[in-house]
Amino acid sequence: MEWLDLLGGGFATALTPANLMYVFIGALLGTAVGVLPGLGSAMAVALLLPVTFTLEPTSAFIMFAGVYYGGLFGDSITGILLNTPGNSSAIAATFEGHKMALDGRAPQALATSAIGAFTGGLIATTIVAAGATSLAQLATYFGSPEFFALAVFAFVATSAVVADSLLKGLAGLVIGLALAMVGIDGISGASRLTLGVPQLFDGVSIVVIAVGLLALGEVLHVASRQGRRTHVTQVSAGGRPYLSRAEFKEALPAWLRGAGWGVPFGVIPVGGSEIPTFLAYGTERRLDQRRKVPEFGRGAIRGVAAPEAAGNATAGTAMGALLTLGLPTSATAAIMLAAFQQYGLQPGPLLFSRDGDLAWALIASLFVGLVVLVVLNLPFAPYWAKLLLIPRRHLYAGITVFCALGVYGTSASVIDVALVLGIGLIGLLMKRYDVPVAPVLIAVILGPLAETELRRTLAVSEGQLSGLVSSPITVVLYSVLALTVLFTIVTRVRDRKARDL
Amino acid sequence: MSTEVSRKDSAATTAAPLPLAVLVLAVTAYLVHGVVTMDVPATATTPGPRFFPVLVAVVSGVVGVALLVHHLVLRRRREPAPTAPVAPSDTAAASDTADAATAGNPPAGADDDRINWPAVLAVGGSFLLFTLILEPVGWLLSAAVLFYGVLIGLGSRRWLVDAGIALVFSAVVQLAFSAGLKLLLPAGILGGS
Repeated sequence: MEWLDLLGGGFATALTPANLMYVFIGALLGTAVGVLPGLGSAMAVALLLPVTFTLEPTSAFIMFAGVYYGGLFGDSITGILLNTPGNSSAIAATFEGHKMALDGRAPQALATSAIGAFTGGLIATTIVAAGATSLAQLATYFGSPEFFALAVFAFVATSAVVADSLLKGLAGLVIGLALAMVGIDGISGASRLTLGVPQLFDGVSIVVIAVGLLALGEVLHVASRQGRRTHVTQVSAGGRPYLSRAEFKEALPAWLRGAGWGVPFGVIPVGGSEIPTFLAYGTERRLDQRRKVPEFGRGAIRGVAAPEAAGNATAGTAMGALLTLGLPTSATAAIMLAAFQQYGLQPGPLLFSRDGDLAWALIASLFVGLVVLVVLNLPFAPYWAKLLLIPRRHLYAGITVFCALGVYGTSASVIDVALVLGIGLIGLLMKRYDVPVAPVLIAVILGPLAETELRRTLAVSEGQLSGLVSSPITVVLYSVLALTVLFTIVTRVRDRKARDL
Repeated sequence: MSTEVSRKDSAATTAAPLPLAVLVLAVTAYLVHGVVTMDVPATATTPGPRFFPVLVAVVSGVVGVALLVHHLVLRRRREPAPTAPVAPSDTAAASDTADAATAGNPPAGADDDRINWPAVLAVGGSFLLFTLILEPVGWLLSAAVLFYGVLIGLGSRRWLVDAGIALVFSAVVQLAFSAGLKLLLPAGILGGS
């Protein structure tokens, strides 16, 4: 059980009073941003990135952990209280969660959500801690063909399988890939797609793209719908947010099942945690239908417990995958990766062999972040909703300023701020026409990796395409991909037939 | 995300919106331009820096053309086929201004879905203005202008009060981030050191 010793060392490094303060502030800020309409945990991390620059890596990361988990919880708060989840990962929990709120059980819903988040995150992070060294070892088996296969898997899965419309998903994908290719090509030194503008030689930063698409895009989208009637039912959440023993017993199996769904998906790059949350929700629903007195539809605790646990479990393993494999599986992970690189650190197996102390301190920070989340948010959740009493336009004005701050703070370049506007307009277009954003982000995150590994593979195999499927791992990846695509096609065709009848 | 249904061209607009097709084709054009004008160093090995852009340009072109064709085909059919059930009442509990995802309740299809261009221009224009004046004029005033511009764009009519709020907000941010966290924000015309 060597990992326990290593983890203990990590805790010793991470648990300083200063760091505790940072994670606390991070969780506060993260929840606040997560609660704001239209923003979510990815935005919380992107906008608060500059805040961490003056800190050293351990403190910065522990703050990130707080921000991230806080943001995830903020997403859930708005979902439960206002029926408007802050992020797609919180949708599944909103179905039953809002019903519970309408039924006067908002505090219980929030409590279930917080404890579920804690449970899911705890299980995931423990698995990551226990498996870190083995995962890092596994990563050494991944060569260029394997990474390329993984990237292709992510591209196809995110744009074709997960998206509702293949064309829209692919549209997002190519937009993202085009953005990813701007800049100087690492392998040859040629400058690409930069129109000769020197500031673009380094490419377009993920922070710029994420802030532009998600935050500024949202503000522009809101502006474009200015003048329509809006009707929001806000449910008050007063009352003690604690669960009774019976409710706890009811929720516990759901938490565990949800975590079971969430853990594997953090490692599979499909652009986020929507899928496991929906799978968890679906499972609980089916199990509920077998009961004598079905509860779903009127506010079932399990309908909140399972998706929340799943979502945070995915977040936990995604963080783990980032640290041990260096593989970002979501926008937030990609932003954190960019932050790491700013510190000159490269997550992945090298991190564990070179900076082992730091790596384990980071894993310990994840645990700390979880605890702080529960301690902070369990009693205070209802108060976060009060943030929404601020008039919407002031909220959005503030968000816009933070967009500018976040981007300028990261790069000190006005060109980047102008880019954010351009990308924000694209974001407006995408939100208006229901084009999924996940493929764009996945393309930006994994595009450069995909290209580099593809070219390396072909260079080594001297142009032979067979080089791409040379190892068992690649064969497995491509086969699974082919099967998933086939399965999706079959289901879609079947659904369409059923609809036509 | 909410799906909106307009009276005309509904299926064409929701399934294959024309602006999207235009955007994808524009991306294709940009990629092709980039490949053609690329200055490839003589030392580059194959596959070189043009390989991936060409690949993406091909996919992008196919997708763009497919979207365009799909749009035209659907428009010709002219069947108003809603892709989401329309709520019977318009008290759609889902807020319009926070429709990151609406769970459960479908949005009311009765609202029109024209873009409020003045508002978008106000917000976008403020942001552009901010970009231009940030470094010469400094954070305090530029951010206040940005904040104010967005407020006006989103419909505020309280000219003076909101201008005041904008300045205060900008100052607070400057204090918190610049003085508190040592983040470098331009001082512009108001700055001495």
